[in-house]
Amino acid sequence: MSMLAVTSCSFTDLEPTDKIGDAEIFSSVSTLEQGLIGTYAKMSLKTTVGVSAILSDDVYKGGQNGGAGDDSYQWTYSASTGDHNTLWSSYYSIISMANRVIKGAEGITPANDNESKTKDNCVGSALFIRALTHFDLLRYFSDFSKKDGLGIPYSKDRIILETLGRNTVAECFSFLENDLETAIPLLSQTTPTDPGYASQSAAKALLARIYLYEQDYDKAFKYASEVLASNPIANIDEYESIWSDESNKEVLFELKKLSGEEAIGSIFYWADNSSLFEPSTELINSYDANDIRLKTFIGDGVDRDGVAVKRVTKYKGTLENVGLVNQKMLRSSEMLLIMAEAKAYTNLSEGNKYLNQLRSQRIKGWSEVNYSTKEELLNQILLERRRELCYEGHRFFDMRRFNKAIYKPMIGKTLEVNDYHRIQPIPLSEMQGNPVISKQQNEGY
Amino acid sequence: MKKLLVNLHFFHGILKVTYIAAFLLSISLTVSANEGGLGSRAMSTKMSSTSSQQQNRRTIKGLVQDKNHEPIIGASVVVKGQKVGTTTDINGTFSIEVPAGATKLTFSYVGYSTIDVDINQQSKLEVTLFEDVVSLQDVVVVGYNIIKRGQVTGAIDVVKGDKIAQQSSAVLEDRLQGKIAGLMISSGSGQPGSDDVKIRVRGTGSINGSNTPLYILDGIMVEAAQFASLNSDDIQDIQVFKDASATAIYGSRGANGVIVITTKKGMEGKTQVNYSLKVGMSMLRDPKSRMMTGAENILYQSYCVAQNPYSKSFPLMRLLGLEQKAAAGTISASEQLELDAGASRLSTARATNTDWIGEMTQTGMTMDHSITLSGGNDKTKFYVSGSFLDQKGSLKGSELKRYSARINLDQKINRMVTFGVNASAGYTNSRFADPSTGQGRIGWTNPWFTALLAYPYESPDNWYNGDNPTLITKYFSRTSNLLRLVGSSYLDIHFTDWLRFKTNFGIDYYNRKGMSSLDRKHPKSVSNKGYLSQSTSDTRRYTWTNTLNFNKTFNDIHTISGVAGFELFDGVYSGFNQTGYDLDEFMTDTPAGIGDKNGTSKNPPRIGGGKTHSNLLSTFTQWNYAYDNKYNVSGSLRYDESSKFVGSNKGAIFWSVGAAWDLGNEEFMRKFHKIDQLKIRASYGTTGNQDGISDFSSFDGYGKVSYNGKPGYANNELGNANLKWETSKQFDFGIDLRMFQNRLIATVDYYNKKTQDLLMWKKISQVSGFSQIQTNAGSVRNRGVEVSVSGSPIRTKDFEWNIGANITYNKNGITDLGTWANEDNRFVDGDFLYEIGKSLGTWYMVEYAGVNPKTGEAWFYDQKGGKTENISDAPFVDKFKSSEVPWFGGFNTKLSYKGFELSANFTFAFNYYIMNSSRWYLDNHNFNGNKPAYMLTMWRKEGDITRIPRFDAKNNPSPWASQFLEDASFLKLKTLRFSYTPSRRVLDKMRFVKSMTVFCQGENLATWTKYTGQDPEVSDSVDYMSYPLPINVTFGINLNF
Repeated sequence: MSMLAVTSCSFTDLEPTDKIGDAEIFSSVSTLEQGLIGTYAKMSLKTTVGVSAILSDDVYKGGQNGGAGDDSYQWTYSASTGDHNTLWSSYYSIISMANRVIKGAEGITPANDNESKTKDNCVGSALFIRALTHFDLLRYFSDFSKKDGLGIPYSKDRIILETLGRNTVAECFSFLENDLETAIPLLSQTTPTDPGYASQSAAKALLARIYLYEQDYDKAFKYASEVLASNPIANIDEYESIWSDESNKEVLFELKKLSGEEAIGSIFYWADNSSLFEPSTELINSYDANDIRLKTFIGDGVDRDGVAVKRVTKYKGTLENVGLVNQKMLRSSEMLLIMAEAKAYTNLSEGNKYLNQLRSQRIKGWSEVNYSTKEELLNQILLERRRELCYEGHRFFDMRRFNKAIYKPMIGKTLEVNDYHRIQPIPLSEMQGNPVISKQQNEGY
Repeated sequence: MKKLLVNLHFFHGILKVTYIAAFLLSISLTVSANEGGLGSRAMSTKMSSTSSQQQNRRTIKGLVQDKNHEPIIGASVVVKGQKVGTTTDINGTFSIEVPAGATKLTFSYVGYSTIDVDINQQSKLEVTLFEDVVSLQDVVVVGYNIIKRGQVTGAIDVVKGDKIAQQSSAVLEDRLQGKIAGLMISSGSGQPGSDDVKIRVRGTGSINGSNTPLYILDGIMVEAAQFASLNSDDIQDIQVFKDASATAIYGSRGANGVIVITTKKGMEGKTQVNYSLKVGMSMLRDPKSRMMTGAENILYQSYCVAQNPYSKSFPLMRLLGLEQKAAAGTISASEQLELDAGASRLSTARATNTDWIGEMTQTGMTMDHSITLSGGNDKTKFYVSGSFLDQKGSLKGSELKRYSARINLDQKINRMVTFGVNASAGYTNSRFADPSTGQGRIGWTNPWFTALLAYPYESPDNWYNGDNPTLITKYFSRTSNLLRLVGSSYLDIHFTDWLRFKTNFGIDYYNRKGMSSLDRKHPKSVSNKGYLSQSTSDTRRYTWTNTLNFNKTFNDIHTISGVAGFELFDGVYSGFNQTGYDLDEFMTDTPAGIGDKNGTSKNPPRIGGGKTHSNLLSTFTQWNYAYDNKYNVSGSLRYDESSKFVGSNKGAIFWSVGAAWDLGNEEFMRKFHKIDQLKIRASYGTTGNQDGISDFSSFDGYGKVSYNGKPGYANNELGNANLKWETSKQFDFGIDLRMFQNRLIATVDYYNKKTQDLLMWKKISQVSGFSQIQTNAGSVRNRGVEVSVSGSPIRTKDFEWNIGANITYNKNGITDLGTWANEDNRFVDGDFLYEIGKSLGTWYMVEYAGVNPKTGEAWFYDQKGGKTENISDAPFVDKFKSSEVPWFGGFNTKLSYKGFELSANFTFAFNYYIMNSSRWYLDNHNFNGNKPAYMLTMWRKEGDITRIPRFDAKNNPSPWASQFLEDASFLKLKTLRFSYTPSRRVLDKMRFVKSMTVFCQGENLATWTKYTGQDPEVSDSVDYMSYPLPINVTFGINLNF
């Protein structure tokens, strides 16, 4: 049979060996589902989480750093050099696969109800991933506080040689909302039974985060509280176990990582004790001695050269796979903090209530404290976000949202509120391949 | 056409079977051939009929010998200008009847210079023939056509086997270095048998495609790498085809030049047995810039901590910082406790000074045995060889063992039919110290890198750290076993003396098994408890060539040689690798030692691999016409169809035309009787290049991936269905001159080679998910002049002086960048600028301006020529020399007196820059590890004038700028050799030995360069701490029985 197939065409007509084409991958619902798995597989977001930590005031450089992430650490990036190249390309690489799944699904007719649900879930999940990644791009590469300013190119099609320009921030927000609202009814998981895959709760949680950035506090509160209602936060006794993946309480969405795949903890230190980045003294000192998070997130160790150091142990992993844990992308604790922040503007006592709710489950013997001004409460919320969400990709953007300068005592440098380095440059390589965007570089670069 | 192809498939099958049968047959024939060879002691010397019936004839007797007074058997002796001749017998003697009018006898022998001797009144002659580089009467195969060298219209160079066999390196290309004009070779590693060699014929023509020439071994296309498995004693000669009239017949693979390797064949006559032995030593030079001692490094760390008390970049900084505080009286109580606890560590460090380079280097050893047998009779000719090479490198943990065997057999069945086999098997077993190539060398498994960087205040035995280089040799192992089989069998039918059919089927097969393991006791094994990783790859390429050759001379003056044929090439590669963890304490070098074989632990075994396939279908024809040895014209045409491309891009035609006029054979030149040849050549033609385009780049695709243990597909390549091969158009004009009976040979070539449809990675918007797409755009031109001269200024019976030199000037320039360059006709990729009119490899970097004495920060030149500390304010400039080498070549000289010979070979390359990335690592305050001693001159306080910036510079902690670009011009004494070949009179005392040579030689003895790195010769434009080329000293003996 195969002999016939070979001889029926020319000697030099060979089929590709290690890859398949569109005709195969979009031939059925089950292969479409494999395309969705492929989209998840592309979500290697260690670098993007790492960059946001290194940009922030939560890390000090470690002894075996060797210059890793220096451009970000010292805020010396330019269009041609810096980690933003990786951010840009890896997010859009995920987006391209998500778009292929969304577009590819259009040509597939499900055979039955079950397949129909699976197909819907594939499209919904791909839309969720598309929104999650675009939102991170928006945070890194644009001043999201200016609605009519330039956002990022929002890619909704399968493109190859087309060159998209940047959408406005407002357009981006509306695309994000639209993608997520379309995704919610399509997703088959209502609550994250398996948080390694998209769920309606995860999509709503992301919406809450997006509305918070949009300063639409009503909607942010609405979605956050909806999520929290079905996904309560981990209490003080359960808390530690979510970081070792023994429990997935309050985890709304995470990237599953298995042995041999990227270990998020390796941003900070390696199995051979090489220390790349250490927790900053300021972060360590921000915790109350009774704070469960202090001992969960910060540890003591010895680096490769035998020097005693502090370590980021949020992503400790196991002895066999140091630093390997599932990468948490959305958690209920953040929802509670969003609710507190949303209410801080309109209802101080409610705001205080949610903040106290979180603190009581994080700090042993916490007795309620209520702040009497909006500013005070907001500052406490910012502090609490730092303590709770450190190394999860929030701190740097929170400092931007709150218009605060970032100070790094170890290198004696401050990133002032008006410094253009607060927004990443559009990578030079993108500008070289995209004449439209080459005229839309961020200010200063 | 399609129908024909179906048939071809069928023939494939048959041929494979035939091939195996022929292989088996060859083994049995070996035995009989040997018997035949040894049995037939009688020489078959053909005597030309003496047609002259003249009365006044006389007889001249004589002896023909070489310069070692060794008789030459079978040399031709002809009366000049007449068809009267004979050959010498087994004792080198001859007897010839000459007509009265004759004045001269012409003596010639393959491989020796032809000479004319005045006969005057003598009746006895003693004639000495000198070895010749190339004889014009030699028959050469240019592409698929067989012609005499004198009729060649192209630029072809030859290196004879004996020149190749001399050196001790197992790397074939090493041996060609500096010997051929237009051929630029640089070896990037001292690892025994390393493939890390850069080789270019007439410059760089491709940016992203391959620039490596096509290798043809005994008529079949072979993989360019892994020549370490080939025994260079087996090589008869290597020809390098440079211009289109020689390369166009190789069509889509000829654009980078063609290297044709021909192995030795048996010759009719008594069986020759040859044994050679080489014993050598090798050693590394100390680093050019001395590294710090223990005390110096501690001082350096104290300078650093004084500039940033927070930093932990170097291990002792914290304690040294506390010491400084204590001295200043500002130390706190808790800090004092910490200092007290660390006091012993500091004192131990202060008392230690380890020579890590000494720890990691050794005297390398080479042992090379090779034995060959050759001979035959009028029916069977054979050449058989076996060799064993054992090299221990000068860096610990590097080793090469090679076992090789070859049989070349030709059997005449009857007057018409001949068949034969060329088969070789090479097996190498290597241990690697050099982990990789390029940037892959930067890492803890590179012993040269770690030896330089290890802290000298640590001691080898008490430093349990992954950076301790002695732990690498102790606990880490990386080996590779390579089996390479190259074999071909042919059937040759001479229908008439002018028409001949030949079918040749050849296979190049190699299997590589790489293994690396890390002992569980190594500091880096803490979490996975050691691992063993094995990869196997299998490459099979076959070439089946069928040709019909025509060769006829009409009326004595018109010679037409031509060929028509078709060829199939097919290559398959597959690789598989697996890694297991939790390696047993005792079983560290076998998969049996893997603790978790079933994937039940937290570090389950891993597998990977893939395969690929490509092929090529070709038809071709090639013709050469020679008129009276004066005028020659040639032409070739080839159609190639490749599996790498789709649609109308699959097939393309390549062609060439050439002409040559040998003025030396014209009547009007007879008065300049010192001129033997004065040939003017010109050629033009097209060739292609498809190497470097991966097999399925024309197809879009999704590869297999997984998430959370579930399988899926993800897009991994943006295919381009419009992809096609790069095409080169080359013009060549050359002059060949031979004078004074070939004692002066000179060749000059001018070439102009334009490569278009360059394979380019076009940058596209990354919103597509990809940053670039492979496409064809732009063109590059290489123009140049090659000159080579060789000669024997002095040649007496006992004394001879030979000199030779070649030099090439190549000018590279981009002529077009297609439609996708920026508006200003340029684009930047990495550290290079691509701009129309500029050379490839044009460095494009920020220009370093030293260190600001005020702040200690690095300075860079800004737009206005001022200095700035902020690198992003400094423009990229292109004022540096390119990495493309414009001037290169070699020269050699040889003095021979009686049996003594002293020779030297030099190579050089001038006027180009390479990036000394090794220095970027060494001079970088950011990197852990020891530093060169000059780093102590770093900026420390305001006003310091130095070229080393402060520690922890704020703006640019590790600036990658022009300070690491260096002129890599060099002149190298590649080999110096002294040998002695006793004369036959001396040897007569030794019964069995027919001839003998003993020699001693040194390689890489001296390099003159301003380059600050270890060796300017690197295989890349960037120098990444490669295993330096060692100095070799070799002693050897050649015995002929």
